[in-house]
Amino acid sequence: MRALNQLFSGLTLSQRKILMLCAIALVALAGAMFGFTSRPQAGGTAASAARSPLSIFASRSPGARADGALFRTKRRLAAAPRSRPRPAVVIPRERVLSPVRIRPGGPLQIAPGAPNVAPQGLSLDAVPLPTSVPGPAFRSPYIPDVGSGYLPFPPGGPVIGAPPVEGGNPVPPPPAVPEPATWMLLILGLGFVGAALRRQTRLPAGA
Amino acid sequence: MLRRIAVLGLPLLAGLALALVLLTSPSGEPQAPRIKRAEPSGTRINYPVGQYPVLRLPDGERRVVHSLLNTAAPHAYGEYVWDDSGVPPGQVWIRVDLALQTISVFRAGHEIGSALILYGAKSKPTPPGVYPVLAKAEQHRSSLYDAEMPYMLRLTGDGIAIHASDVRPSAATHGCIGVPLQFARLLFAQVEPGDRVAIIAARQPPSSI
Repeated sequence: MRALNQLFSGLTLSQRKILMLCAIALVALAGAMFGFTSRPQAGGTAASAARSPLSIFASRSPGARADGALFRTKRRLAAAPRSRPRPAVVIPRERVLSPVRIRPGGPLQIAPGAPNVAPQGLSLDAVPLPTSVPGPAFRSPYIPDVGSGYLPFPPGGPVIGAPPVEGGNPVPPPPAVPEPATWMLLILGLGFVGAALRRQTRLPAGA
Repeated sequence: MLRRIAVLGLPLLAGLALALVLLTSPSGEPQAPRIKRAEPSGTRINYPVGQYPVLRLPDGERRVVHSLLNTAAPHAYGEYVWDDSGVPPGQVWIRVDLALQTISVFRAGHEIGSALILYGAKSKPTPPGVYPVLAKAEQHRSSLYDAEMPYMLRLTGDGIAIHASDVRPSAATHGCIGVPLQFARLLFAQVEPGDRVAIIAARQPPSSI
């Protein structure tokens, strides 16, 4: 207390005023703090009687939406089932026919007592065949034996060589695209011409 | 020396105390009504005559509130509250709060419906503002999104609307406001073209009273 008195007496008038004001402010702040802490109990009933609409709205809310909310309300168009299935990707495959043809189901066999099988169609595989047939080997109906009267070649064997010329121009017209040999000849000739020209120009220069 | 400490230290102490009080009071005050949930009995919170609160819309318009539905508990997603018994016919307006994810329907100053909503995602935000209902369609199929949007209330020319949605947590729309189907049906019956819809922005500080 004495120290305070000493302190107070040593101050000027303005310093005293400032100190008093600070003391008053501190007391007032303490009172205000006490008021804040005791307010919920005191003002609770009054606030509930007439709460502001905004505070009521806020109490209904679950809070702000979380970040990263996605729109999944609408089904994506691409995910919807298509009325027509997407066409499968077709990889083109080239089929090369073999010169040797093998008929499925093994070699074709025809009974000798069934001459009408061949003209009846191609459903030869479906014809029930006897398991054991005596006699000579059976032949394909497409290559009939010579004795049946049908021959793929005229009698005397196939004609080998040029067909008989029947007048007119016997030389066929030259093809539109030259042969490789012709091209080579052309290039060789051009080369010769070029070489000759080079020789001709070089001679006077050297002389 | 003691004098100097007193002259300099006391104001400093006072300033610190003031700062402490100012910092702690705003965080402490809004929690008070949340802890205390003493509501008047009945289905409505009626404001006394002469003390009607006013809600300020984004365009500056002010709307007087006569009563609110007496539900302060948090809504569940997809559920709604609707009670227009005893509410006289009158002007209908809708308040959509994006920050709170809520919608409130008012008729003649009384709140008749409330629900949680879906709103636009960050990439496709719902535009805040005040919009009149341009058109309404009970059955609508979005040509833009190839989706059913029953009970549609169109708000803007570029397709923002209020319509029925599957309201659920952590979902968003392409900018529309999605409401539960039954709520959308009730809302559709109330709203006529020209009625105003106020959309409060998500980041806007609460402006009222």
